[in-house]
Amino acid sequence: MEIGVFLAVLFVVTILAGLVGSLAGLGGGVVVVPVLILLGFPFVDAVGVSMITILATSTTSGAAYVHDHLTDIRIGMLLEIATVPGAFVGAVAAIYVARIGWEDALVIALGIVLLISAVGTALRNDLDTSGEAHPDRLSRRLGLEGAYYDVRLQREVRYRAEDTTSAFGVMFSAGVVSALFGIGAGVFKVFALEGALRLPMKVATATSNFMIGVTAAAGASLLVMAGYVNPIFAAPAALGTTVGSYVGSRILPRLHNRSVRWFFVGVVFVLGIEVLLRGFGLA
Amino acid sequence: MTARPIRDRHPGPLPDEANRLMALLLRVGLMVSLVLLIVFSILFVVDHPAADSGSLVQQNPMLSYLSLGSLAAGLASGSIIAYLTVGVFVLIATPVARVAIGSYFFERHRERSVALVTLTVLALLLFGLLYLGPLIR
Repeated sequence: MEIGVFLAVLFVVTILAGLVGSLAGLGGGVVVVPVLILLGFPFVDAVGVSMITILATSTTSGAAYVHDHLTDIRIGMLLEIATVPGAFVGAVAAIYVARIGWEDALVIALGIVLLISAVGTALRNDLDTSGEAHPDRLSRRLGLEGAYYDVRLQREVRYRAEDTTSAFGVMFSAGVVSALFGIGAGVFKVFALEGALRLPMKVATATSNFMIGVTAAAGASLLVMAGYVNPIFAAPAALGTTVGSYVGSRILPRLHNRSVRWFFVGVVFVLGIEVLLRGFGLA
Repeated sequence: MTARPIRDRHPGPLPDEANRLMALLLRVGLMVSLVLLIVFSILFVVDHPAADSGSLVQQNPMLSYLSLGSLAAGLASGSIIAYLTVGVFVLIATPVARVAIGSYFFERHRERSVALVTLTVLALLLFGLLYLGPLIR
C-alpha cells in the first residue's frame, strides 16, 4: 500500500482505537496493538508504536489530572520503583521471544490478556475504601496519605495507603504486562492502588494514569534504542489516539456509563478472540 | 482499635508551583513532540509518495539516528527521519522530565526519602534509555 494511504488508514483506525479505549476505560493500547497486528505489523514493532500512543494519551490526561489534585505523586513514584524494572523485563522478553521465532506465542498471550482486561473491566466494582485505614511501616515513613475535594460528594475525602508490599508485587507484574504487550495495564495498576493500598477510586485512576506515562516511557525508551519504534508510523498513531481519547472523554459524560462500558468491553473481547485466532493460525 | 498517627507532621501537598510547572511541562512536551511528528511525517509522504508501507514496516529508518553524533549530523543535513526521531525522543523525555521536577520539589519540600525514591526512578529510566536499549539492539 502507498505510504500516504496507509498513514491515513492508520490515523483513522487509531482515532477509533483511542475512542474505544477511552470509553471502555481501558486506554488505547489494548485496541492499538491488535489492530496494528491485523494490519501486518510484526508483534514487537506493534508494541513499540503502541507505547508511543500510550505516552501521548497519558501525557494529555496527566496535565488535566495534575490541576485536579487527584494524582498522588508520592505513591506513584514509590510504586514506579517496581513498574519500571517490570517494563524492562517485559520489553526484553518481547524482543527475545520474537527473535527466537515464537511471535505466535506472544500473539496468543496478547489475546488472553485482552480477554482478561475485558472481563476484568466488566466486573470491576468501585471498592468501598472508606473506614479506618491501617497503613504499613513504609506508608507511615513516607507519609503516603492525602486528601482531595470530591465535587460530587461536596466534601473533602482523606485517605492513607495501606499494604505497600502487595502493591509492589502487582505493580511489577503490571510493568511486565505493559511493555510485553504494549498496553497501559491500567486495570492491574488500579487493582493494586484500590485493592492493596485502599485509595479512593478517583485518586487510584489519576495516579494510575501518571504511572502509565512513566512505565510507558521506560518501555518505549528501551524499544526505541533497540530499534523497534518506527517514527513514520508513530506520528499518525500518536495523533489519532490522542484525538480519539479526547473525543471519548468529551462525550463520555453525556452517555449512559454502564451500557457504554459494556458495549466497548464487548469490542475489546471480540478483538481478543480475533487475535487469539490469528495466533493459532485460524484467521 | 484507633488509627496510629502516620507521622508527627505530615509534609502536606506539594506547592501549587510544582503542579503548575508539571502541567506546563506535559503540555509543552506533548505539543512540541506532536508538531515535530506531524509536520515531518507529512514532509516524508510528500518526499516519498511512492514508498511502500510494507517495506517501511519491515525496515526502521530511525536505526541510523540512534547515536548522538549521527542524530546531530542528520539534523544538520535536514534529514526528515532525524527530525522525526527528535519528536519521539521529546515524547519519551516528557514524563522523565516530570520525574526530575518531582525530585527537585520533594528535596525543596524537605522530603528526603521521597526525593531519594524519585531519583531512583529517574536513574532507572536513564539506565534503560542509555544502557539497556543499546545493549540489546
